[in-house]
Amino acid sequence: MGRRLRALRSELADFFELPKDILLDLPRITLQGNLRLVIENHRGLIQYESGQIRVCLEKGELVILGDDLSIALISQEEIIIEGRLRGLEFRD
Amino acid sequence: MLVLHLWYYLTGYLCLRVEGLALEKFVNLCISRGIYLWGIRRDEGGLVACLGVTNFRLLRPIARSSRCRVKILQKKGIPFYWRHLRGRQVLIGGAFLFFLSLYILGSFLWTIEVTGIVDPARVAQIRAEVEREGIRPGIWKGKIDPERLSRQIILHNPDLAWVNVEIRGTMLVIDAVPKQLQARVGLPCHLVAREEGVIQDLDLLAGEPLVQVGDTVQRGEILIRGSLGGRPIAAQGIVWALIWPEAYGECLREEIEHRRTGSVHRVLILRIGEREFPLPGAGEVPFHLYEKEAEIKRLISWRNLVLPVEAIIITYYEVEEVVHRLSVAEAEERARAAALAKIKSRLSPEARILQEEVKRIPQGSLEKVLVKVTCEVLENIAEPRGFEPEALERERGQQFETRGESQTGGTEQ
Repeated sequence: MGRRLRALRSELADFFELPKDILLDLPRITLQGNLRLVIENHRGLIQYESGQIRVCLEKGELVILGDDLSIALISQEEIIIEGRLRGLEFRD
Repeated sequence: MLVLHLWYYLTGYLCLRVEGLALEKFVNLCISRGIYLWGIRRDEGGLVACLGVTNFRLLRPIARSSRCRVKILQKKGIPFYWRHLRGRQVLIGGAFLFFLSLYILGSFLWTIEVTGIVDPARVAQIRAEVEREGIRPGIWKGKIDPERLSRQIILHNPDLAWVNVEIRGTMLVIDAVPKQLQARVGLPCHLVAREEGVIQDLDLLAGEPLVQVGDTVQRGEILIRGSLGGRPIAAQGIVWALIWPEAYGECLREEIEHRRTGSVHRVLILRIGEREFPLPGAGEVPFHLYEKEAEIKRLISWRNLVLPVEAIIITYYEVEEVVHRLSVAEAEERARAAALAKIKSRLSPEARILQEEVKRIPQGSLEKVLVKVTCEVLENIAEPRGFEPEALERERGQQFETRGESQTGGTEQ
């Protein structure tokens, strides 16, 4: 996707008040306190340790830090991560 | 997601242990093949995951390409439980035997109950009659014909108006209603004394009078007999008599009134089924004395379909105690009024109270006043009472006998 096309889409989404995650293929991340994290629209796991999970996204990756992290379920559409979450980081 | 888990519970699922270096690759391959994984936990040198039993054969090429070793830890779900249970035939046999014995024991009669009749002698009589029909505890329920039995009981007991025989579980319930002879217009009836008293006036309209002015009558005594030349008729007449009803009345000298102060406290409770959930913010009732009112709100009720969800609004009204102190005379007046009201409730509207006597009964303490009120009342004491026309002849004979005796007694004096 070219940068100009991406900018156009973003403006379109703003203008029509459409959800950006659909038009821009962004992940939708929902946090429930520090216990549960739901990532929709992901591209698979990169690394899974009990203290750190790296999830591949459309652009870059998401690093989840915490203790006793477990994957409550994983499918093509979403990942649900449970445990004691301590931090989130987006990396390119 | 619950539906999916339920589905996997029904079709069976496996808990696996995956060991290897490229565990992430294993997971990614699984999702790209559409294999649903859940409950993934990481531990030393591997991970534990669950998946549906039907997906297990798809795992082999994935494990090979990601160089992981897969080991089954547990097999769960209905098919595995069923397989496990099949090995324990005694357990299945026992469960089957349990339900079978429950069914067999439930198809016999265990108890017989007679309701609706107060007199224990009559109850025993009906029980004996039922037993004579061959119905006793221990017989097979199928042998009982409730309709036939109720007809039999009615036939043999003309004093019963209605009998219903019903099998309720292992219990035979015989519900009977005894006949009550009611004095109705046109049906033969006597006029009997409702109270004991001294007759002052007798206005005869129909029937044979058995009493005279000046007679003292007991309660239930026949005043005017419902017969005309031996033929049963409905007796009619008015019998004025002096009666002396009495009643007690009491009054406390200290009266406590609970008066609402105006401050209220509301609590909302959500009831789902049997459970009650107080909504947050309820807290303790901030009043020392209060009155409680509960209002139940149901969501919708359509026909007899009621949702098991209710909202209960409890309102607490703060109250204060106000003490009224009565003088002895005031308390006595109130007690007298209460006693008089009791007497009046027993009298007919046309009754006339001729005299009233109030007697104060001394109490141990001065806090309570107790009075006894006796009145002299002129009242129509005639009350109709129905009778069976055949009974008239029998009664007639008896009545004459007793009359004759009393007359002879009178002459001797």
